[in-house]
Amino acid sequence: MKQVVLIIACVVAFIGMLVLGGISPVEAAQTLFTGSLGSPRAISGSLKETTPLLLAGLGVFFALRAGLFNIGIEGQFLLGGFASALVALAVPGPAGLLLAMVAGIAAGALWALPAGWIRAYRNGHEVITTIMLNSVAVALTDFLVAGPARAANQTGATTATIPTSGRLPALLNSPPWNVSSGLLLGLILCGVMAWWMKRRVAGYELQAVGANPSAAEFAGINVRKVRLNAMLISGAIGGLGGAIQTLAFEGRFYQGFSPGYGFDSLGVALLAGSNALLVVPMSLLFGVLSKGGTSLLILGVPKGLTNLVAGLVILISATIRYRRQAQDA
Amino acid sequence: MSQAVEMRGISKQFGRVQALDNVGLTVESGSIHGVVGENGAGKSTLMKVLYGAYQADSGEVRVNGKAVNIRSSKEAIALGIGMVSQHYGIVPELTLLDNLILGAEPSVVLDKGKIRERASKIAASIGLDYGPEIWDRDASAMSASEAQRLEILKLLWREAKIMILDEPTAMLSPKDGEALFGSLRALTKEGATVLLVTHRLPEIMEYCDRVTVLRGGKWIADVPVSEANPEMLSELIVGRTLTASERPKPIAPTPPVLEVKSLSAARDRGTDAVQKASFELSPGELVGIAGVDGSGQAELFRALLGVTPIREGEMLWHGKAISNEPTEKRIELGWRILPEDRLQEAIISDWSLIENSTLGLHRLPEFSDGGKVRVPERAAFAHKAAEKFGTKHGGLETSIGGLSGGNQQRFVAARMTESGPKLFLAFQPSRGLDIAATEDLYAAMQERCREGAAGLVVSFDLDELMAHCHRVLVMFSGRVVVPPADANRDTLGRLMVGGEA
Repeated sequence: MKQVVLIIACVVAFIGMLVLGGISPVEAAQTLFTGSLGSPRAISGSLKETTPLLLAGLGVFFALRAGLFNIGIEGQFLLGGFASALVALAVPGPAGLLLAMVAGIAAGALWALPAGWIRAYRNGHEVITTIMLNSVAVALTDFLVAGPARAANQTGATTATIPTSGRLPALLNSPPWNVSSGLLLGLILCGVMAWWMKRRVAGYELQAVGANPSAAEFAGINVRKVRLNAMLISGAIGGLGGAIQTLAFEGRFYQGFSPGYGFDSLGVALLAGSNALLVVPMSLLFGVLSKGGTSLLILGVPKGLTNLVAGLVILISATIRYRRQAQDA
Repeated sequence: MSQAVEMRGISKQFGRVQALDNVGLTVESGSIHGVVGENGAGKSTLMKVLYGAYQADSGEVRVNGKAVNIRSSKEAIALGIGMVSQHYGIVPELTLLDNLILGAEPSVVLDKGKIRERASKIAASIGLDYGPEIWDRDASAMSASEAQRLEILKLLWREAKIMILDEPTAMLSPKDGEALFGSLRALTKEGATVLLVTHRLPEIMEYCDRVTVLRGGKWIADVPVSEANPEMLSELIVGRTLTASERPKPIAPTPPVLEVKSLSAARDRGTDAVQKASFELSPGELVGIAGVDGSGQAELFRALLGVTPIREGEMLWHGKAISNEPTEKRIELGWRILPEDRLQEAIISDWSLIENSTLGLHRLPEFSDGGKVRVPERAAFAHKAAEKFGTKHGGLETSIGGLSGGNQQRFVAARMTESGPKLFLAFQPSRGLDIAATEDLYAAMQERCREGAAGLVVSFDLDELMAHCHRVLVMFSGRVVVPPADANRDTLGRLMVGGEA
C-alpha cells in the first residue's frame, strides 16, 4: 500500500516537472520506458547500470546493519576498479582475472580500514572520515591514471585496455542481449548476505551492534571488533564492485570511471532497509532510472531531472519509514 | 471539597485486549490519590487517557467539574494536567534551565535572568534551593532523583495543577523518596492534586488520602487510606490471599565461589565510581546490595561483567583470576546479568522476543552450532522464557519494544534465571513488576541458589532485599560495606547514607 503511494507520488512529481519544462509527459514516459525496458538492448543496458549499484549497495547495506554509514563506498569502488585494472594488465589470462578480483577486494577493504579503525578505536565518526577518504580516492586515482599508470600510447588519462581473456565473461551474449556474469555474482552475494544475517551468529552480533551497541556490549559482543570488521567487509564489497566494473564492463580504468555509482548506492541501501534481498529491486529501480534518464537526454530532459526523481524516491520512502517508527514509539 | 478529576465509564480496547473496561476514577482537589494494581491492570492506560495520550473508546472525563475531551498532551497541559512517566523526557545535552522551559518557553527572545528567577521561585515552593549554579549545570550530570525532581519542576513551570506520577520512587532512595513526598504534600496544600501510580503499598499507606484499585482492566475498589491496610490492599490487587515468603536464613559459610578483592573501576575526573570493593559470594547464596541510586552499583556490575575495565584489584572465580577475561568468556562460565537500563542495555527494541531471548547467550553451544544459529532451540527458549513469569505478548515474532515495561522485565528476568546461571547479577530486578511477579522472580532466583548458583541483587528498596536475600551488603559512595551479621533495618539504612553501623 505504502509502496503504491510512493510510486504514484514520484510519477506525479516527475510529470509535474516535465510539464514545467515544456515537455510532453506522455512522450517522456514513452522514451523513459523504451529507453530502459523497451527492447532487449535497453534491458541489457539497464542491467549493466544495475550491477555496480547492486554491489556497492550491498557494501553500504552491510555497514548500515552494523550501524555504520559508509559514505566512502565511492572511494572504495574507485580503488577497487583501479587496483583490478593494474593486476589484470600485469597478469594475463584467467589467473590474472582471479587475482584482479582479489586485488579489487583488498584495495576496497584497505581504503575502508582507516575509517573503520578510527570509528572502532578512536570514536571518530565514519561519515566524516569516509567523505574525506572519498576526496583522496578521487584525487589519488586521477593522479595515478594520468601519470604512472597511464597507457603509453594514450593521450587521455586512462590505463591500457585489458585483453578479452582477462575479462569477466558474459553470462549471456547473443546480441541484442548482453548480460554480464558480474550481475550473477552480485545476486549470489546478496543471497549469501541475507542468509548470513539471519542464520549466522556473527550476523546476529553484527546487527546487535547496529541496533543497540550498549546492549551488545552487555551481551559479551566485542563491539569494536565488529565495527572494524563491518567496515572492512563493506569496503571489500565496494572494491569488488569496482573490480567487476573494470573486468566486466569498462575493460580499463580512466578518469571519471564512476559517474557516482557509490553515491547512488547509498540510496539503494537506505531504501532496502533491514532486508538484504530488497537491495536487488532497489538497485534495479535506480538502474532503470539511470538508463532511461540517458534516453531522455535526447528529448532535452537534463540528467539532473532523473536524479531528482531518485532523490524524491529516497525522501518519500524515508518519510514513510520514520513516520511509522514514530507511530510505533 | 470539589473534584479535580472525574472519570466515568472509561473503556479502551487495544486490538483484542480490553485494557480498560468501564473504569471510574474520582479525585478530590488537593489530595494525593493512589492508583494501584498489577502489571496490565490498566493503571497506565487510564492515566494516559487522562493525559490525552490515548483516546478512550467510551466514557466521560470531567476536570474541575467541566466535561472535557482531551485529545493530546498539549490539551491536557492547557487544562492543567501534567504527567511524569517512568522514562524521563530530559535532554542530557541541555542545561537544567533549558530542560525546564523546553517546549514551554515564555517568549521568543529568552530573558534568562527573569526565567531563572521564576524557576528558582518554583523550586523554592517544593523546598529546593536552586541558584544559578544549579540551573546552568548540564542535565547529563543529574542523578536519578534530581531528574525526577526536574520533571516535577517542569510540570510546575507549565502551571500544572493536576500531576500524574508513574512510579516516581522506583529509582529513589528511601530518603529521596521521603523528600519527594514532602514536596508533593507542600504542593497539595497550595491546591495541587496528585495522582500517584505505584507498586509500593507503604507509599500509599503513608502519603495518600484515597486509593483506587484496578485489576485486569476493571475497577475493583476505591477506599480512603484511613480505612485500608496493606494486607487488604494486596488482596484487592491480586484477587487472592498472598502468603508472604519467609526470609531465608544466612547459609553456613562455605569456600567462596566469587572473591572480589579491593576492586576499583570506572574512574571519572579523578574518582573511582567503585572504590576498593571487597566481598565474597558463596555458592547457594543470594546477596543483596542496598544503597542509594548512584552509589556505584551500576559501575560495580559493569566491572564484574567486564564491560568496564577495572583499574585496580582483582576478581577470582573458583579461585582463578578472571579480571582479564572478556565478557564473552564470563558468560560462557555461566555468568548472567540483568542490567540496570532495560532499554539501553538489556534488549534490542526493534527485535522480536525470539531474537532477544538469546541476546548474550547467543554464543553458548545450546544456541550456536559452530557459528550457525540454532533456530529451533532459540524459539523453544524464547517460549520458555515468556512462560516463566507470564510475559504477555502478541506473539514471539513481534518486536519486544511493543511490550509494556513490566512485560519486558518479566522476559529479560527469565532470560537470566532460566539459562542455567552459575552467577547472576540482577540490577533492580523488580523494577516495573507488581507484587506477585516480584515474588515469583525472587522465588526463581532463590531456586537457582538452592541449585548451587550465587546471586547478587542490587535494589534501592531495602525492604525488598531484607525480605528475600541471605545477606545484605551496602554500597555508599563507591564503597562496599559489609555490615555486621545482626544488622537490622535501621543500621542498614544508616549505612546507606554514609553513617556508622
